[in-house]
Amino acid sequence: MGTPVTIAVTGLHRGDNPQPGASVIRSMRRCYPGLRVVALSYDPLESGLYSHNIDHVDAIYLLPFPMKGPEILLDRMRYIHGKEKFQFLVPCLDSEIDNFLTIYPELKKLGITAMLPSKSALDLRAKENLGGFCARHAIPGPRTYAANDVATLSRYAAEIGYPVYVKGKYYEAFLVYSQVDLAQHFDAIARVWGVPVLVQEALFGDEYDVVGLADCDSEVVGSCAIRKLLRTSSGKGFGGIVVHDRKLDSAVTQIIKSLRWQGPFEIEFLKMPRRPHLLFEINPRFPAWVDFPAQIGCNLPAYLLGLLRDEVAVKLERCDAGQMFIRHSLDLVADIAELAKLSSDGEYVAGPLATKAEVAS
Amino acid sequence: MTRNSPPTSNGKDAAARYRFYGDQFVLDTLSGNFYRVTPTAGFILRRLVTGKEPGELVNVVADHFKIDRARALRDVEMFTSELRSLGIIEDVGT
Repeated sequence: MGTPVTIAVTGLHRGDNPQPGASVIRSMRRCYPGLRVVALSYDPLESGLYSHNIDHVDAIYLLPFPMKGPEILLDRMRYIHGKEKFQFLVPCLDSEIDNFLTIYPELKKLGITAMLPSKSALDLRAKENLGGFCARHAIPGPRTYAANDVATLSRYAAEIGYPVYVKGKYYEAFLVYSQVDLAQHFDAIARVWGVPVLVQEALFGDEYDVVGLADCDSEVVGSCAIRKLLRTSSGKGFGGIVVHDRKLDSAVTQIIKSLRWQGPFEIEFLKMPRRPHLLFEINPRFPAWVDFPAQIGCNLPAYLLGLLRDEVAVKLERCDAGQMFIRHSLDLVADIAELAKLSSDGEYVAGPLATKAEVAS
Repeated sequence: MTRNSPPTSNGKDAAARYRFYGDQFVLDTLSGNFYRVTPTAGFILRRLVTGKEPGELVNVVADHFKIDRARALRDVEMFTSELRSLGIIEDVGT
């Protein structure tokens, strides 16, 4: 028997702000049922670690937080690879991509392949640089400024006019109506996510979201566009409906070409009546809803795995307009012994402990 | 262009853009918005998106609902104005 195809995936938590890892696994296993999955986790309570379904993981290793830097990450990855010999890596969190890019030459020497954007492309689409990118390429977007101190940020907010959004460079956004609110949220965001903190024009309309995959020539090999139907209080999509809009497709193609992007992406737009789509965010990974298009003919994670394996194993169909998803939360059963082992040892190889009875569900 | 993108033109083919589910529910596949409509509104909208000329549509409405042409004209104009103001039929050739 040959070495099993093994992939390492991050971002396994599926709480009220779900991460994409479990969806990526689910999609890949639809085409590669024998896939072995190594979970790279930042928290022993990431919910996906406890799944016994199609998105179950076969081994779990804790990673150092991204703020610890690339060298510590590389040490840990060497250790994990020494034990698991995984061939492929799919990072699923915005905040870790930079570190993985830095250590990628070393990972390649170990025999680990991933599809990551270039450092310059990653930086160009960073929230603090997105306004400049839009201006240079005549892409409509909301007015956005970045600042390292609250006084400068307040000046920008006054220039835009309240209310404005205050946003962290990776996550979190708050709608604020006054300078006092702005100062409070600046501190809260800077404490957790560091600086710069962003201030953005508050615009209201329908939100559109496009998931896609670009090959090494920045050709979009497949994509699916949705309008968000249901949103949580923090703006996360909990439901969506497929749309067919050539203008949106063209905008995505232009953005990906302009960035010279390769790999997975999620692009978020806002649309107000009689105005073009405004580019809001570009995320360097699949979104948490990526398994929705995978179920209706556009399995982008499986296609990615095919690209990494140098094979075309999946045909990407277009998603039919009107197909929709609604997210549904479930309760997973776990044993405290699993949490204890993972917390104590920093790793947990599930092996026979994980019941496989529900794998086919 | 995305390799798996849809073959339809961008909203020009209005009949393909709008999908009707019975008499009272319509989906705009371009925007992803969907609407509950009255049977009368559904009747007019179906004909609008299949390219019926406004003048012709007025006659059809007058005949179908057994009303005089002046009232049908007013109703059709009011309805299409509302659709336009909501951005629902901005690309439909009416």
